[in-house]
Amino acid sequence: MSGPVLGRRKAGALVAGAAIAGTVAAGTLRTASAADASTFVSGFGLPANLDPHQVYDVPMQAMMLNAYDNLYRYQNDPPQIVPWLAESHTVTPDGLVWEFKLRSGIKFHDGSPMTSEDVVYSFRRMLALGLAPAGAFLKILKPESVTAVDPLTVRFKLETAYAPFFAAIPSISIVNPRMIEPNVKSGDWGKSWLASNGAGSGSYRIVPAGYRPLEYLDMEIFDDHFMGWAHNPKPVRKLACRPTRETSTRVLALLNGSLDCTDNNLPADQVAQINASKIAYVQKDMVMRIFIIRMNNTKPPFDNLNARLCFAHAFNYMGFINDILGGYATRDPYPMPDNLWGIPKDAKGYDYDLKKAKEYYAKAVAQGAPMKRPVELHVQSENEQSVQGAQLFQSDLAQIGINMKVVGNIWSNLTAAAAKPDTTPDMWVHWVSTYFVDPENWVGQMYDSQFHGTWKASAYYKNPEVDTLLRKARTTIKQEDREPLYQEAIRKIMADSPDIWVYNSMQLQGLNKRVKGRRFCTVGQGAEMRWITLDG
Amino acid sequence: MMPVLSVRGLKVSIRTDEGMAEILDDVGLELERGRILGVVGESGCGKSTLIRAIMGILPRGATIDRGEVWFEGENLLAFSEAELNDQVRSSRIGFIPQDPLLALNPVFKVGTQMLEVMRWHAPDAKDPTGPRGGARRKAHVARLVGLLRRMQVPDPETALERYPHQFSGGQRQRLLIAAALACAPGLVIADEPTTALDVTTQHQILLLLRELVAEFGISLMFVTHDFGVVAELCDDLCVIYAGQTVEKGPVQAILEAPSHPYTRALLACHPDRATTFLGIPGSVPSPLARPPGCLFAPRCTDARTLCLAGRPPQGLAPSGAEVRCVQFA
Amino acid sequence: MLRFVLRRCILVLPSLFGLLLVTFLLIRVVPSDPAMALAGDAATPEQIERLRQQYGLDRPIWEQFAVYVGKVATLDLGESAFSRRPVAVDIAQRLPATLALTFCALAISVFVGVPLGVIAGLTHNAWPDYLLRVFSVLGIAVAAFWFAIMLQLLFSMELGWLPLRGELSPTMQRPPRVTGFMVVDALIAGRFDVFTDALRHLVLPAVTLSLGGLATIVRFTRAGVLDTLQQDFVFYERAMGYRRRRLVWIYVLRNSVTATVTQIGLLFGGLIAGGVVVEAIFDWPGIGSYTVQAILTGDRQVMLAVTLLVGTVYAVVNILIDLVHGLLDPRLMERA
Repeated sequence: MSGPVLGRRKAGALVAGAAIAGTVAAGTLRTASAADASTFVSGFGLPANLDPHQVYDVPMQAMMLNAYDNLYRYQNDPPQIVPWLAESHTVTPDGLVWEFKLRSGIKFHDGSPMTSEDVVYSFRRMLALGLAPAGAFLKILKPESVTAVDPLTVRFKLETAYAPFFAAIPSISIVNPRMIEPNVKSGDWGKSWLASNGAGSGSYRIVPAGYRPLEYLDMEIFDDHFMGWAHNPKPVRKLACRPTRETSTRVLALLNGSLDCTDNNLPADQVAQINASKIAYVQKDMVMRIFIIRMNNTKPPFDNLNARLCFAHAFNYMGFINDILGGYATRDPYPMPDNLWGIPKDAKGYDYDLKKAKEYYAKAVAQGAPMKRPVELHVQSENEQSVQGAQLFQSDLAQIGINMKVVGNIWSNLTAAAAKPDTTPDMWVHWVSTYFVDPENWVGQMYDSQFHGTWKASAYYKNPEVDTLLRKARTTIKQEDREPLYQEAIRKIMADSPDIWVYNSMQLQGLNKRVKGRRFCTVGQGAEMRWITLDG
Repeated sequence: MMPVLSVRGLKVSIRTDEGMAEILDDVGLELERGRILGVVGESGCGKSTLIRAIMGILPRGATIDRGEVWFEGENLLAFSEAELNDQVRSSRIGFIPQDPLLALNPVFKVGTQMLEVMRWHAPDAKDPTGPRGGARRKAHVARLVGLLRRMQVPDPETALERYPHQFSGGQRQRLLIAAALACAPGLVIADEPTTALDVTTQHQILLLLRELVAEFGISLMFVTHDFGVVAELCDDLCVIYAGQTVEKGPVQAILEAPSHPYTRALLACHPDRATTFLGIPGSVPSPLARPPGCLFAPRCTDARTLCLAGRPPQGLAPSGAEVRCVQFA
Repeated sequence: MLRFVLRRCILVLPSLFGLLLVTFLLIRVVPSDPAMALAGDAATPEQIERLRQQYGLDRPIWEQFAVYVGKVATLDLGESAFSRRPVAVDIAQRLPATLALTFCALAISVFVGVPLGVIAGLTHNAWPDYLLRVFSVLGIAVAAFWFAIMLQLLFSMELGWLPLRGELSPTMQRPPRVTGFMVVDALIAGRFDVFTDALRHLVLPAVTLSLGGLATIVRFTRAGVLDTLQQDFVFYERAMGYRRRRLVWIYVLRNSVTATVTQIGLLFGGLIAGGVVVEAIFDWPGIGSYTVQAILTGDRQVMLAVTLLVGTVYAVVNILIDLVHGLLDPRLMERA
């Protein structure tokens, strides 16, 4: 959400100019001007604050994978959920009671051992705060239903069966009550203290006073991490997070060796220049992050299926992906990442076809849909690529006689507007990232009508059959039983064409060539530092 | 006896967008030691340029084409800017400006400004044996306070700590006279110092100046457009018209029998003498295009053919004055 | 003089109150929902509603304003919806970085711009004047980000003399926080390596930020000097034999900088605004990025606090400017 002050394209053009000026210096570029062999300078974005129970987004995932641990964790690419603090778990056949067995000998950063009581404290704290990461749990888990069976066993008793519960377990960090409790102020669960401090057990610990929101975060290695360091004989000792704001600065810092990695949103037009350098390269990874053009299904003409189909055929998907994104994305016609289970592979998406669009236009008009009404498409102004995509859409729509206006807006205004059908724009664009690896994260929360009022469900799509299927899938435990339900729901949703699904992201990250051992997982996006070692 | 100041055949031109302007064409004057010389002329006749030329502060684009400025036996025109600053200004030639309000720097205390001058130009400024630093400054302050008292500036002790705008016009002029005398120069040049003052104050200042000439042993060159002032104050007179000296001689003689038609016309215009308020018809010829012949001829009631033939030479009038008119050639 | 300052300070309070009221109302025109911002992206409507009640956002607007003003009076600026930290803490951490940058930029503008302006005025219509006039037009026309990138390319990439970004090298250990000014804290801690490092990091952003002000100061000083040189007292002072250097740099200059000083007061607002761009390019951890973030995330408490802060700084600077005017020209102090 934090946008560069310069547009991407402008900055890109500048950097391109800079590259020309810099070719003279290409041979003499000074390397490693800031970092030494034990300090990793990271350009990942920082979370809004450091409390993993208050914030849950991509930057927080990157931070908490290093500073905190969770019961289970996503690893590898494609993501697999693997035992982490817990060595195993059991679930009753009705899906209501879950028990997790902790490993023994786990230590927090203060040296104190982790017990099931700490896990209970962590979940209760998360529920009591009721903030972002609690979204998946608030309806199904009461604080008193999280209990310690014995020092190494935690029991969760759910209110209703909820299959994504397990998929969401990695989103909850286990915190150390012995560090938090002394800092509690008037029953705030240590909220203001933990926002700027660390109380975890992760492979890196937060250096006291080494944090300023959005600006910097200093961490140092935790030698006693429960997973040990046998997998990595020469780990990074110090981690200096120094997020960059402008693309040009980001690329220059990478090229002069003062930054070991950029964030994952490197614009496509920077790839060639970075790959041409001796010091850095661009890593491309498929992630689960889909890009959608939302339609407000309550507002005419979008309440008409033919009108929606008309719009769905008027977007030049491949032109956008190839020309504007430089090919760094895959066409994803589904309301979900195409690399996740639950996709009906037989279902066909919609293609760019202005002839068909015109036919649907005529049909919609015949049914009385006000296709002549000027419509608005709201974009996040700071994202140059989505603005360009919107303009591409605008020119195609103009060809078939639809008057669409592109309106610049900001994320916070858009999510607020999306809280009610009448304030939700005709159309707007956004991404849906991986909060947990489960269809519930996408199709479940986007098209079940019970989520109307949240930005994820801002199409205001309502189909009782789909509601039934999604709710059933939510309460069914086994993945093989859930999969056909999602496939069926998605087929129906796609037939209704409530939104325009565009692509699944490929993320681009600039890396210094001295960075070795990086392992990628779509959750955390390669920010897990325990694997990494620095050459030289 | 050699005059203190002697200007001979001074010609100064200034480059302008429209061409060369001959501001001074042929100015000559002598100031004898201990005397007061009045330099009189209408505005635009070149009085200010004459002062600037003597002090070596001509505006940009001005050149001295001809002439000499002799001061105490030295040709000032041969002095460099640094030499003028080091050896002449303030220390040997004091200056009293026209408008006492505009001439003082508004944002510095009066004392700061006067002491700045004394610091570099007071008689003891370059004296290696005299007091230095703070002691010298104290001596300067004492001398200034004495001078201010002599000039009848009220509260001379605190005056140095005040700003120019805290004084009345007459008081400011007294301050400037004190400043001109502060470094004990032999010559003081005053540029219409009473023009901006009311008549009573003007009279007081003139009386004061008259006394000071004797008291401090200075010679005074007093530039004005006002014959009344000349009559009250001066010993000698030099009348300038269009950049030329047209008549010079003892005041008494000239006032009794003005010889040059311009002098006569000027005197006739003076409120004290004029029967009707007429002024001199016509205007001073443009310095960009001086007519041939006598420069006053176009306005002269006595003009004849001869006047247009060429610049009239200097001649001696019966009054004893030197006059630039064909009548006396 | 004390009375003058006191009166100005008291006069500032109503303006700040007005500023606060207008901002408070304006922010509400924007549809962003602070409760939603607080709850985060993955929040459910129930979570959002709970927060709305918790923060009194369901109360009438006048009541909210009254509560806010009451809190501000006790220096409680509320909590950032974004960082969920007290806004006062966030600002206290960041303000020194911004002030250090702003004052360094201002110092460069003044200490370079004034002499250049004087030289331009003295050499009126000769080549140094022409050169400086071209420079001052360019200085205003050139975009800060372009200039910044050129500086980065030359001094960080090509020559490797100065760091590219940030306020301290990642390998440097931060000195204990005393004043919050990195350079000062480094000295207090006796860490000269940190001091030099921090100073080196200041150079490029400060130079970038100084550019616009520099050009303005050159222009106004030049105009002031030209105007002063026309004054009778300059001729008088020359006739009295003032030393040329002292005449120019003391007696002429002090009369010429009145307009320049006024400009400095106005520039200060521009510097804070320009700081947003410069802080972004150089990853400078000041108020700029914080403000941008607040606007993008609809963080009302922060927007209000920053408005109030900038208003206060602006008011204080302008009181100082008036004082400087008074010191430069005693006539003004008497009039006031």
